[in-house]
Amino acid sequence: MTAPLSQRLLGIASRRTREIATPEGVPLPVEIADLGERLVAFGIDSFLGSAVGIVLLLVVILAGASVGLGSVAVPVGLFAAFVGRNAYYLFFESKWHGSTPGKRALSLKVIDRRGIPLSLRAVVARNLMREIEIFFPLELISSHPAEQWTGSGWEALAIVLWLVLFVAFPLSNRDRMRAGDLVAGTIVVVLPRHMMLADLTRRARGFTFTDAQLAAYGVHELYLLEGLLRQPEGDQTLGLCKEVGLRICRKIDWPDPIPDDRMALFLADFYTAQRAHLEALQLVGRRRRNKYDTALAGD
Amino acid sequence: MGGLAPSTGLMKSQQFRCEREAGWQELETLLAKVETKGLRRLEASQLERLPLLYRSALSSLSVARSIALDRGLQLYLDNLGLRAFLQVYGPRSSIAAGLAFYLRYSLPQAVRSIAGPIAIATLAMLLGVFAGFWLTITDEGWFAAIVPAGLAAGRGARSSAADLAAVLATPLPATAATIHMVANALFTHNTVVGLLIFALGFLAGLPTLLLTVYQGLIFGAFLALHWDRGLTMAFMGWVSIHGVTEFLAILLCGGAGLVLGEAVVFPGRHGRIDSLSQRGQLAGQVAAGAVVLFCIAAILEGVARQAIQSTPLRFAVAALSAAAYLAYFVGAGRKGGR
Repeated sequence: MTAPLSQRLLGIASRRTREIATPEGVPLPVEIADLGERLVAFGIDSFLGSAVGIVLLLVVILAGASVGLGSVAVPVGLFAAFVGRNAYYLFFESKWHGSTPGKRALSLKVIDRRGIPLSLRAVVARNLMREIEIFFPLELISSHPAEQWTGSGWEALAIVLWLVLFVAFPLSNRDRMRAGDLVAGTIVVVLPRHMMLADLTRRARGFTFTDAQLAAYGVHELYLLEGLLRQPEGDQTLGLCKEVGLRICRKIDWPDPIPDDRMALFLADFYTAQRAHLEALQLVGRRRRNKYDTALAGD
Repeated sequence: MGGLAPSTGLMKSQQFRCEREAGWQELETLLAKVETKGLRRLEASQLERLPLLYRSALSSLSVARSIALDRGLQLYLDNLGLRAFLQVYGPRSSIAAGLAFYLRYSLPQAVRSIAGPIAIATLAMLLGVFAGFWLTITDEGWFAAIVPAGLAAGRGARSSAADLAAVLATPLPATAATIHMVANALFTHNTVVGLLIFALGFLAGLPTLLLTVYQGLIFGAFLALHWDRGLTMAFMGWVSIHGVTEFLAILLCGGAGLVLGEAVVFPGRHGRIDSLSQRGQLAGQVAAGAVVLFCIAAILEGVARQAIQSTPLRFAVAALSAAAYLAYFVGAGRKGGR
């Protein structure tokens, strides 16, 4: 079986994982969000956050309409944007437990690396750092309209370099932390909702296996078979089932050829028997990881 | 080997699943409600059940990991456990209560706990002031080299005493221009510079020190210019009315940046990343406090400085603000908190 297929059958995501410790002593695996997902969430949040800023700006303009604000638009706009986006992030990340509308759209969540509750101070720290990472260079550019740009080309290059460095910063560490995460001790994880899947074991319907036959495989192969049986029905799955079934037959020396229409039944029975066998082994402390794990094979 | 034949009865993992399934589903329903509508929507009885169900789901997870070879079930329980964990150990306090607590306890405590780095930042700034003063008093050509054109606003070696005095006595302009000045003070120099001083601390603290010295240099250069023209007292009054607040904010940012730098250079027993995150939250609290101070300074600079023209009165406001900050940062939050 090719590597991508086995990965698909095992449902392994391409994301990185890490474990966080719970106070109960049971480690929980979390999936680290990709840079791309975070950029999309950031895009959504920036849009909504600046909307808050624009509302603020309108309030200011309406309040000062009589005196005319034409000449002061840029600094006041920057101020409104600053207050708007920070209020936005602060409100949602603390109110929604580390989520914002943009993050929620992508099932992302900010959590503390150490597994303790996300504190207000961590939220403040990571958002203050964002000002310097992204908005400071953007404001340097926006507060100097192109025709009034007084800096040299080198300054422009430095600003762009600054942006690129900080945006790419998460790629430099395995937990994909940006500078703000580093300072606040937070990570951004993916938290999709998993459905409970049915148990695939069932009463045997015609096929029984001997212990010698069940000793051919280990847990890894059992998981692959489970993944195959959970695939949506279709021609591709049917073909795959047939191929896998024939291989199993060869491996365990199954005497009679199995007709195509009974193959799914055979696999389901084999899965049940194999799982019962391996679980019984595991109960007495002998976990057989895969088919190459000879140390524990049989008595 | 006497394996459990599936035809003779249920496997242990099936039995386990049958017994616990109802609890997981109850937890999942509760979580779905909490995740979309918040904890407050739960009834008291449900609120009581949540931690119980969470602990039982975690114990299920441990059992499943050791006895069940059902990968679908394990992934489901991993996910359910994590979702419940994040709700059960979610942040407790509301934003308003959190902010009140921050101002009452956390901020003064955080500032006191990094008094050492703040003192170092103060030394760095004083060094800058002396250097800027000395350079400019010996050769006023340095003024243009030190002070950016935007900040100098036409002042320089060629300014006469009358030119400088005119700036110091600028009256309160129209509302729009006042808003402009406040916003400009906030966003073209102060807050951004302050946050830079803080945030770049994580590059071993060097940019923090350099920027702090540089802020001192600028002030020293201005001081020398006015000293030479015999306007020292008027200038000090003009600066100090907002400068006390602003320099304090810069020093807080400097101290906070140095804390980040220290965590990176001397991580101590923990790794660099852990040490940075532990110290970083503390430093972030201080920097956030500095942002508040910058806002106050901007208002003083944009409004009060123009509204109050008398130098003694300007000094009085400065002394009053200094006393207030001293009382707050030294005295507040001594008891309680944490």
